[in-house]
Amino acid sequence: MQTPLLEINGLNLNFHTSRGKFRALRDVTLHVPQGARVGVVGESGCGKSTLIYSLIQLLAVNAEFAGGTAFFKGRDLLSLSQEKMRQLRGTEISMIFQDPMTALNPVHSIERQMIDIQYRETISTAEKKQKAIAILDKVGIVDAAKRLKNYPHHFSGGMRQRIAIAMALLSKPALLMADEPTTALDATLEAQIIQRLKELQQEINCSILFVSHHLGLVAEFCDHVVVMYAGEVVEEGTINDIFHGAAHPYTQALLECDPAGIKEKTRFLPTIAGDFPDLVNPPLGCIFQQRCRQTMEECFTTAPGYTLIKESHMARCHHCRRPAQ
Amino acid sequence: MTALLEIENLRVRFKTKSTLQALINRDIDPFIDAVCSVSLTLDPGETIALVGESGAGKTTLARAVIGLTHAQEGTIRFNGQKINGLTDRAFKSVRRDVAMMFQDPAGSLSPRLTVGSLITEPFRIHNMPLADVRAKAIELLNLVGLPDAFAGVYAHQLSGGQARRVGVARALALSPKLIIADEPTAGLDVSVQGEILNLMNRLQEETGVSFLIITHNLNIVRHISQRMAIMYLGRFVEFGLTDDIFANPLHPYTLALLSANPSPDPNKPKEKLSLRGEIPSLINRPQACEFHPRCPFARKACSKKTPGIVYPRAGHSVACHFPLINNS
Repeated sequence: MQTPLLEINGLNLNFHTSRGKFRALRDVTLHVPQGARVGVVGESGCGKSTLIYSLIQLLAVNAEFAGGTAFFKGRDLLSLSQEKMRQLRGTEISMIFQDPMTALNPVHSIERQMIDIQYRETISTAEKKQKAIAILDKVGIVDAAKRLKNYPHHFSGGMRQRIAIAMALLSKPALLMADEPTTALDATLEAQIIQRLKELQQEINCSILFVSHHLGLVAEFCDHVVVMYAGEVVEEGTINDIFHGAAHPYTQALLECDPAGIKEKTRFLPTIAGDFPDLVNPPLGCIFQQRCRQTMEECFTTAPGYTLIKESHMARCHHCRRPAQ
Repeated sequence: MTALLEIENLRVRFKTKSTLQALINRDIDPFIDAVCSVSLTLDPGETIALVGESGAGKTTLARAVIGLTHAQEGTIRFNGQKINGLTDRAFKSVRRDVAMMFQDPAGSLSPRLTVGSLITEPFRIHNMPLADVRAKAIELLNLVGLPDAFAGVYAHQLSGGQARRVGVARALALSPKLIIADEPTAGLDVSVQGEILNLMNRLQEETGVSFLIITHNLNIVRHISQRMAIMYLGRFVEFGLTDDIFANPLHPYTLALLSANPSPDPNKPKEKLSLRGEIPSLINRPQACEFHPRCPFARKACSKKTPGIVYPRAGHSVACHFPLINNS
C-alpha cells in the first residue's frame, strides 16, 4: 500500500484555561491518502477546526501538544519550527477559510494580493500576473484580466470564495485544507463551487481535508469520512461505510437527525438527547456515554479503542467488538 | 374561515440615491424594489415558509409585516384590519398579536438583562402588569424546555440553542396569534435544530399559533410547513402546498434549488440542474422574465415578455412562461 500523504497518529492537544487543562483533541488518528478527499464531520465544538489549525500550527498561545505525530511527506508537522512551517504553508499545504468576506485584504487589489502571495517564486511580476489570471479563469471568474484591478468589495460572496480557492491552489499544493468553505454561501452557489473544486482537485491531483458539519455535502464531495465527537475520532470509513453502515451510535444518531435524510414528512424530528461532556474533566470510559442509547457497564469504565470493522472502516465503540452487531 | 394575515400586492422600495444625486444623474427612479407585488394569505394555525437565497427579499417582507419597514404599495391585513401605514402608536397593539424571532438569537437579547426579565419584558412594554413576574418567567421557560434556574442567567451564558429557546419564549410571552421566525435554525447543529423545530411544532398544536418561517434550508421546510413560497429578486416565483412543490416543482428556479440541496446518500444518482452565474443585482434587474439569464430552459419568449402568474394546478401558482408540468 502507498504511504498516505498525511498520517496523524495519537494526536493530543490541550488548551490551558483558568479551570485547568481543556482537552480539545484526544488520541486523534487519521490518514489522508494521496489524491483523496477526506471529510471531517461533527457538531460545533467537536474539534474539527482545531484539528486542521493544529496541523499548520495556527493555534492560540494557550494551546499545547501533548503527544502524537502528524507526518506529512516524511516530516512531523507538530515538531516543525516556525521557520520551517512557514515554508510549508501556502506552498505544499494551503487553506481555504470559512468566511470569504474576511479572508481577503480589503485595502489591496486582487492583483496585488495574488502577486504578493507568489513572493517565493523567482519569476517576473508579469509572469506572476499571468499565472494569477490563468487560475482565476479556472475557478470561473469571467474576464479575469480586467477584474484583477478590482478590490474585494467589488466581488460578491461567491466570487470572493472563488478567489480564495484560486489563491489556495495557485502553488499547486499537495494538501488543501478547507474549513466549511461554503457555509457562508447560498445553495445554488454551493453546488457550483463544490463542483469546480472537485474538477480542480482532479486536475492538480492534490488531497483535500474538508471540514464541514453538513452531512449531505460531505456525502457528495468526499470519498472518506471521519466523524468526530468531543475531540475524538469516533468513526472513520469510506462514504459508503459511513452513510450506509454507520457502526458508532453517535454517527447513527447524527444521520438520523439530518432532516434531509428523512423521506417521510414528519412533524417531529429526531434529536440527540443529553449534553456535551465537559472536556476539562472528560468522563471515564466512552466519551459518548451521556447521550448514547445503548450503553452497557463497560462504557462507563473503559474507553473503547479503535476497532476495525473492515479494512476501510473503523469505529470506537465497545459494541463494534461483538460479532453480529 | 377568515385569514389571519392577508398581504396584497405588497411592494417595498428602498431609495438608492439622495434626491439631489438622482437629479444630477437624471435618474427618474432612484429606487430598488426589495419586495415586488407579493400576495399571500395565512390561515390561523398554519405555517408558511418563505424560501430563497440571500437578497431575495424574505426578511424585508417579514419586516414590512411587523411594521419595521415601510411598504410603499399594497395592503397588509391582520385579522381583517389594515395594518400598513399605521402610526407607531397604533401599531403597538398589533405587535401584541404578532411576535418576531430574529435571525441572530444572541444578538437580539440584551446583554444587560437576565433571561427572566428578558422574557417578561413584553408585558412591561405593553403595560400589562403581572401579579407574579417570576412565576410567569418560569412558566415560559418551562414551556420551551428550559429549567427554572435560567431565569437568573445572562445572555452571554447561553449556548446557541438555549438563546434560540429564550427567543421562542419571548415571542410566546403575550400568546401571539402569529410568530414570524427569521431563520430559526441558522447556525445550529442538526440535533439542536431538531429540538427547536419540534418545540415550534408542539407549540403550534397546543396554542394554534401561526408561523411565517423564513429560511434557506429546504430540508426543514418539508417537515414544518404546509405551504411554501419561493422568492427570487423580491417576487414569488412559485407558491403552493409544500408537498406539491417538493413532488413537482413548476418553476425552473425551484427545481434548481431542490437539486442543489445535497443528499446524505452517496449512492443516489446525481442529476444536478446547475444554474449559470449568480443572482443579479436589484439595481440592474434583467428584462422580461427576471430569471431567464440563468434559466437552463430559457426560450425566445422568456427574454421578450414578462411572465404573469399562472395557476397550472389549483392553489399552486407560478410565474413562468413554460412551467415544468410534465417533468415527473
